[in-house]
Order: sequence, then structure tokens, then C-alpha cells
Amino acid sequence: MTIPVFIGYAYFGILPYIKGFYYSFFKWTGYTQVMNFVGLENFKRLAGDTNFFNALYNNAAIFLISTLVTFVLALFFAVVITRSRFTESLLYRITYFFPYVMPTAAIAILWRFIFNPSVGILNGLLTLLKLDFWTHAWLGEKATVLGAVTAPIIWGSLGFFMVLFISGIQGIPATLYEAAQIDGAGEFQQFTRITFPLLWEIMRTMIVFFISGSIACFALVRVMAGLTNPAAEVLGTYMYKHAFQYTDFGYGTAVGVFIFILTLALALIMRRLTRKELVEY
Amino acid sequence: MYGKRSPFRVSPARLAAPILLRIPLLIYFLMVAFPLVWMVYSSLKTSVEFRANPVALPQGFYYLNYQTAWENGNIGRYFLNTIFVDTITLGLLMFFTATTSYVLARFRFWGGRFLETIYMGSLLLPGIVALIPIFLQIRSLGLINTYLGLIIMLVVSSLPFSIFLMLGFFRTIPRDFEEAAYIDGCSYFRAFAQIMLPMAKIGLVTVLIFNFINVWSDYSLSLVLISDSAKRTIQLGLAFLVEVPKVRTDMGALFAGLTMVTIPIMAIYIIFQNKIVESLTAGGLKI
Repeated sequence: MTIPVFIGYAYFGILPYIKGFYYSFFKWTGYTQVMNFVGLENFKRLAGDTNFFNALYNNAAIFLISTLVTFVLALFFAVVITRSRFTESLLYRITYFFPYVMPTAAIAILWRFIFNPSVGILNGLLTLLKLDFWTHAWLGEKATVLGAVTAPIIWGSLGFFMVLFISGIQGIPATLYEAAQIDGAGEFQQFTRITFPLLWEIMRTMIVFFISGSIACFALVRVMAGLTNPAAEVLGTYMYKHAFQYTDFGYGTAVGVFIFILTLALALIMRRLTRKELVEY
Repeated sequence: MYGKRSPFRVSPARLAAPILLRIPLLIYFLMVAFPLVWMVYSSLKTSVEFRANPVALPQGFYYLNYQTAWENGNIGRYFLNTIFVDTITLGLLMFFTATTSYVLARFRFWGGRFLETIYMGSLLLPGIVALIPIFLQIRSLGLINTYLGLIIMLVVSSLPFSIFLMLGFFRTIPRDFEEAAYIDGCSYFRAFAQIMLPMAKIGLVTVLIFNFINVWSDYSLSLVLISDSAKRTIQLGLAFLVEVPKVRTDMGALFAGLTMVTIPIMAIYIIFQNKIVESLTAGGLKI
């Protein structure tokens, strides 16, 4: 029984990736039978394409900021919740986690409304607080678009990582903290010497996990900002545009290949860079 | 915990800490809860109320929004489409997952580890890269814009994670039960159906919930594989609605649509929240 399932999976699930590499070497509209083998031409074109680099730059900015903010805040909240034993902690866990299971398209639409200049709550609240001068056309202005797109990404993942870290911290024996306290260590020291090192392994893996998820923020950007805004162009939308709007499938898959290699490379680099001696207890 | 049994001098920092620390927690709590609450109560507003003050509470319960969304906005049809696609997808998915995980968990056979590695490895692949080739492949099979094509791809893309979860569950069940059954002359199939499955019921339900969330939320695959506006699934349908100029101005209806799209997930989350969180994070820690 397993064999047919696996064969089906391999055909529909793995083969596309391999084919993707294959197609990137062609120039093809996808609707005719004509496929011209152009070798690396697609890639050379990629290297000289300013729009591509624009998308790459945007993607990088989104990626860096979202990763940083998500992990720092998730860690902060996790530590605060576990160490302080607030009674309402369960409430925080339940609410913070929810956005992670919310459909991506729904998140995008919701935030699109939040950022809407006339009916959105962001501007609405600012006006209420008499902070009118801070209102913007968040998704329309070049300066604010990237930030606007990054916010839902953080919103959607923070809770998940926080809960993950909480479980990790709860796995650390309490005796360690007690011993440290007796030795006169303050909360901050306890964090840097006990919590952080022991959480490090989990963090490394989670960063890699987050990477492969966030480079490809196609759905979110597409629904929030559409495909026509160059300030909100990311690799995923760029790939989609070239394949499905300009019907240049060869080029589109070349972008896809780039995304693939980039994700892999980043993951590997992160694993190497963050290699530290394993702290055992 | 603070300052009571401590042999150290109680500093002002110790006393202020609980209050200060609660501030960021509460801020983020509002940032999560408020948009969701806003989404729900906004769906009950009229367009006039919207223009007046986006933040205010609705004056009455303008249920008409839901009807507008359901009929004019076609959300009704999209809803039904999605339920149709999802039911079949989930049925197939659970069947494939259960059988594959069972075999992988229990039997050591040549190629077993290989299969497992492939499934687990594919969890790390960026799904978006496969969008174009998937489109091309499905098209070459003539399945573009059909429900069958979408169902196949949904099953395929959810399979690795599903198997990952299921394997974990199966592995926690001691083998003794089946061994006792084999001694009594039970066949593999019967052992699977009558012993393993009932014991793994919790696991099966959890995996089912996950898969439902993933399949209900799907946007990218539907976007690429469905072009007929009548066949759209609900996420896709709503996303397109938001861009249609005529509908754009009827914010109430749009919010009603948004709420309808999110409510099933919200309901499931509230009921099963504990299990969901546990399973997702346990998987993350195991690595």
C-alpha cells in the first residue's frame, strides 16, 4: 500500500522540483510546443536584471527584519512568561498562538484592511488619539510598504515561536535556576548563562525553519499589495509574474531555482555560523 | 515569588518588575486580539458607519452583510467548493497517511529509511519553487482547472507533514498489543484496522485537525491550479473579491466574508487549542 502512495508522491511532489531546474534552461512561453534551449541565458539575464535585484533587496529586508523581531520578541515573551509565573499566562499563550493557524490569505486581507487609509483601524486609532500627523497610506507609500508587509509576518509567527521557546525553557530543570539564585545571580544573568545557552540548539533549528518559510512570502504579499507595486515586489511575486503574466516560463523557473538555492544556502550558512559547543546539563 | 522568601534586600526593581513586564505583554495581547475582534464586529456595520468611524462599534447587527457576501459575493459557492474539495482531500490524505505511517513505524524493510528520509526532507523544501512546475505538470495531464488536479496536489503537499505527525503518534504505542494479536493468528491488515487505529484515535484526530487547517487555508495552490471563477476555493475567492472595484466599497460585506473564512479555524482552535499547540511544538523540539 505504501509503495503506490510513495510513487504518487514522488511523481507529484518531487518531480516538480527537478523539472523546475530543467525548465530554467529554456526560453518558453508555456503555451506553444516551441521550447528553445538557451542554456544559461536565463540566468545571465537574471544577473543583469535590476527589477530582480529590487525584488531580492525587498525580500532580504523583509526577511532580516521579520526574523530578528520575531525571534527576539518571542524569546523575550517566553522568558517573561515562564519566569514570572503570571496567572494570566495561559491567556497570553492562547491568544498569541492563534495567528499562526489563521489562513495566510485571511491574515493578508485583514491587515490590508487595517492599513487601509480611510477605513483601517491603524489610521483610525491614530486619529482618535489625535495623532493625525502619523497617518499614512501604508500600503501605498513606498517608504512604508515593506514595513506594512513585514508586520503580518511577525504577527503570524511570533506566537508559535514563543510557545516553542516556552516548552524549551520548561524543559530546563528548576534546580539550575535555584542554584544560580543562591549563588547570587540576578534574573538577567540567569538568562544569559542558563536559559539562552540551553535554548540555543532549539533556536538554531527554528531559525532554519523560519528561513525556508519566510523567503517565500508570496501569498501574503500577493494578497496584501498585489503584483503591480515595485516597492512591494519579492522573489515569489517576481517568479509568479514572469511565469503567469508574462508567460515567460523559462525565466520564471530560473527565479524559482534561485529561490531554491538561496534557501538552501541560507539554511546551511545559518547552521555553520551558529555552531557552538553543545551545552549539556 | 518576588521578594517574599528572598534572603536578599528587596530592591525597587524587584517590586516594579511584575508591573513593568506586564506592559509589553498586554500591548502585544491587544495587538493580537484587537484586529480579530475588530474583524468580527466590523462585519456587522453598514458602509455608512464605516466611513464615519472605522474603530467604533456597530450600532446594530447589520446581518445583511453576510447575506450580501454569501450571494452577491459568491462566498456561498466558494464555501461549498471548498468543503467539497477539502472533504475529499482530507479523506484521501488520512487514508494515505495512516497506511504509510503505520508501515514506516512498524516494519523494517529495505527502503524504509529511504522513504522516511525523503518525506522528512521535503518538509524543508520551499514550496513556492514548485508552484510553476506543478502548474505545468498538472496542465500536461489535462487536469488544470479541475477539482481533481487541486485535490491531488493538496494531498501531495500535505502528506509529508501529516506523516511526520502520525509517525510520532504510532511510535508511542507499544508493540505488545500487535504482537499479542499476531500470536493469536491475526493478519497484518486486521491488526492495523482493529488494534492500531483505535489506539491511535487521538493521534488521528489531531492530524485530521492539522490537515483541515492547512487545506482550508490554502491559497497558492488554488491560485495556480484554478482559473475558473466559479470553481474557486474560499481563500482564493475572498482574495479576488477584495480587488473587484464594485465590491471594494462594501466593506461590511467584505468583512463578513473574511469572518466566515476565519470562523471555522477559530472555532476549531478554541476547542482543540491545547492539543494543537502541544503537537506542533513537540514536533519542533524533537529535532
